Amino acid sequence: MTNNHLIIDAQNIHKYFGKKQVLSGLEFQLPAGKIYAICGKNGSGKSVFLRILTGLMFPSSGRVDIFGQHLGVDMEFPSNTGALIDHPGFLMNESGRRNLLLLAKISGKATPDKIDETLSFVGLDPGDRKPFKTYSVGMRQRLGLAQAIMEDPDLLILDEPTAGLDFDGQREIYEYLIELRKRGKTILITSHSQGEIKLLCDKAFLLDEGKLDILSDIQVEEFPPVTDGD
Amino acid sequence: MAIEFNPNRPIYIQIMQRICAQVLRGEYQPGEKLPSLVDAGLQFNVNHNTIARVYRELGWQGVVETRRGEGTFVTEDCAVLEALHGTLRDSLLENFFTEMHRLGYSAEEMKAAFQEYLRRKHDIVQDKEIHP
Repeated sequence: MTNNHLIIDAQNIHKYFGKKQVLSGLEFQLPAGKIYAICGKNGSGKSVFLRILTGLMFPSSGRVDIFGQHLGVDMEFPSNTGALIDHPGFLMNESGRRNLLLLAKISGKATPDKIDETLSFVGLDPGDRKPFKTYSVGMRQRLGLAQAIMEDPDLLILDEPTAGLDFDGQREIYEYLIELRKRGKTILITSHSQGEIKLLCDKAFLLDEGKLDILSDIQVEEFPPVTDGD
Repeated sequence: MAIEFNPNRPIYIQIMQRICAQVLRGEYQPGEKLPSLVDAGLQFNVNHNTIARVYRELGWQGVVETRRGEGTFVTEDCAVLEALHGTLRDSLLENFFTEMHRLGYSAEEMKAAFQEYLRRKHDIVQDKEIHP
């Protein structure tokens, strides 16, 4: 898979809720192996678009291809994709590990060893038997990230992955995402934080009036051509 | 406090120079671990890729060493650090010479001006010692 290979190819996406148009002819093409952000005001349609990309919602019209497969036609949910959208429906009285083991039984892809490795990666203790209902906000967010990455997907779609976390918690999530990028994953997040986008993302997009525009491109901004004398 | 960069020079080069200066001032000791990509990115308000490039370039120069899974560390090679000292000193002298030359100073006039400057600095320091 080359760096120019499109992981996500969304064409002419429209979405209506009754008479209200949320997405209007949205175009979105994402090459592999970088971290991207979509930002926009509350109610701009970010979460709606992410739900469309993960197969949780159908567009009113338009086409989405993920890894070259037509979403909703070739497959119902995108393959090789992990998602964290809203709060996953973890079982309150089960431990984090047990929750992931139960989810893994459905898809049959993640082994117990892989789950333990994933829990350690996100800073959770695989041996911790405390039930999910006792978890702090930070621990819940980490477990959500763990369920998104435990099958080692090449594409991650994360809706505000640092929401509700304190500064140290955010820093740790940034470390995990950068490590995943080093491993060749493609990561798409939504974010309200300019600092977070500046730190993490190779490219950022603004969703406004139902369409996406490029907000910033790290390659252009921070690596201007080296002039003579440098 | 926000760090201001010269918009006319690549940011990663300016960060490299800052880190080298910190090493030479002893703010980072030989063998000491440098901030992670995240922490340095937050400190300088730049993308983590920019820090990665900084560490890579400093690694090629031998000033730092990146160990996979551990982080990036200042070299313990004294010869490299001495050479770095020389390079930074020469760079500062080059800047001084260039700017003075632009103002029309000859080499002799620059030398005289610098000696006068050092003399006045010495007097000020001595005066502060007598009258703290």
